[in-house]
Amino acid sequence: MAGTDPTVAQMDFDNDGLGIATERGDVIGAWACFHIPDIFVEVDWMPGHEMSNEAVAKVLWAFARQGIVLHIDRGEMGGGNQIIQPTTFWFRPRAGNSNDFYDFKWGNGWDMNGNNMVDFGVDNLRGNFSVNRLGIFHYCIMGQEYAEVAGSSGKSGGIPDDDFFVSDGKLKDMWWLDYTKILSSTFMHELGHNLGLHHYGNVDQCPHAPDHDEGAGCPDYVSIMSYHYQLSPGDWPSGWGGNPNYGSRTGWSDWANLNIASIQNAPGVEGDP
Amino acid sequence: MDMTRERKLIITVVSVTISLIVIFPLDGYKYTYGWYGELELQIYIDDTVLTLGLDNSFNATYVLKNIGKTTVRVLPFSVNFSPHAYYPNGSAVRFNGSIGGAAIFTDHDLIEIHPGKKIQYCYQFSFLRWDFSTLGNYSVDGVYFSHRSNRDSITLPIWEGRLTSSSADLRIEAP
Repeated sequence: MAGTDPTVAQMDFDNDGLGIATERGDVIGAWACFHIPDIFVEVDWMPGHEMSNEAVAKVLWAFARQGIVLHIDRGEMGGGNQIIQPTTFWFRPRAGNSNDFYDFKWGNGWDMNGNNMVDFGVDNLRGNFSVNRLGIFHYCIMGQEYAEVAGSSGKSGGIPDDDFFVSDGKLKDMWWLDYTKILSSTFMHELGHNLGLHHYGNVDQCPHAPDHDEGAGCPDYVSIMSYHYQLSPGDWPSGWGGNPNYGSRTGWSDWANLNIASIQNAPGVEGDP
Repeated sequence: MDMTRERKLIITVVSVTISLIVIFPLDGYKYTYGWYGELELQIYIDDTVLTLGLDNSFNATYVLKNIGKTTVRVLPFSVNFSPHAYYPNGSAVRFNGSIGGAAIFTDHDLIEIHPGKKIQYCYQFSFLRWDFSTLGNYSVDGVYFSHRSNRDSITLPIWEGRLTSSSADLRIEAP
């Protein structure tokens, strides 16, 4: 029986990195699908930067059309909530309280000592992400901006990873674009990094450019993982149905390249150098 | 001086001033943009011999210097920079980290570099994100690129182009 046999409880029929025990709600108190890949994302936000219902709907629908169930928890599943607005917000761990991504995720006990992440053992319980969700949920914060990369619209902890940040404030500054579209596409762009995609999909170099010329983009890569399509919804192909899309390059689709199961090896605490 | 001569003088001064403004725009004349050879990019690393299993990172400093005679406006390194590392056989070192999402720049983000001056950017090559697990000689460099995109709201002229840095060598040794 699945209820008593630990081997069965760990079986993952849909290759999403979540075993039966997790998907039937034993761990997180929420049901998922045994035979359809599920992706869980907890979203916290700074005041004024909550992810809108319209943006959530666009992202959910984009995944649903590919047979993937995306669960976005803005509090509906007991996780997401509003956090405070720090004076300066850093993505990478930084000495000091409530000033970096991991202070908000795990609490102020996690910080940097030189080049090393150290648990100082203080205040860990005041984080916003439950340790029970590690390896199951991705964790996202939405806010005005992060300090390390000027002008950037978001940041993923790595490729793959379980943490990402969306600079919602930067997107609002682009008043001439459809805010709901670029918010949803930026959310999917950073989540795409979490799921293993680079800026050129499942490869880290544009076949037509000798280097990572991220600013110029790769012209024939039609995906919101490309900088161009991430923030140029007016150029989205009509086949996308008005929603963001991981799209494709001739010969394959990046939807098939998502490393959904990577969540089971989520690093949890390290910031991207 | 009668009124006619005074008017002529005023008209002449105003005309010359307007002509100068047209020929040398007030804001742009002292800047260059779209000119490839005015900047250079150098790399410096803080450690050239590292030990596998003991060292877990090294730092690279990229220096962007204005070697021309006019002030240049540039975009910040931000996402306009890509560090590179190469295995002993010349192939690119696998990188599993990430850089920021697409950037949105305004005039406020621009940096002015006067002739002879420089700005620098420090980058840590972490072995968690870069695969330096093979023993031998490596080389590292970087590419800075500055392109105006339609998502930016930049009104001032900027330097646009692409620069590959000098190269630095390092060695990974057995413990």
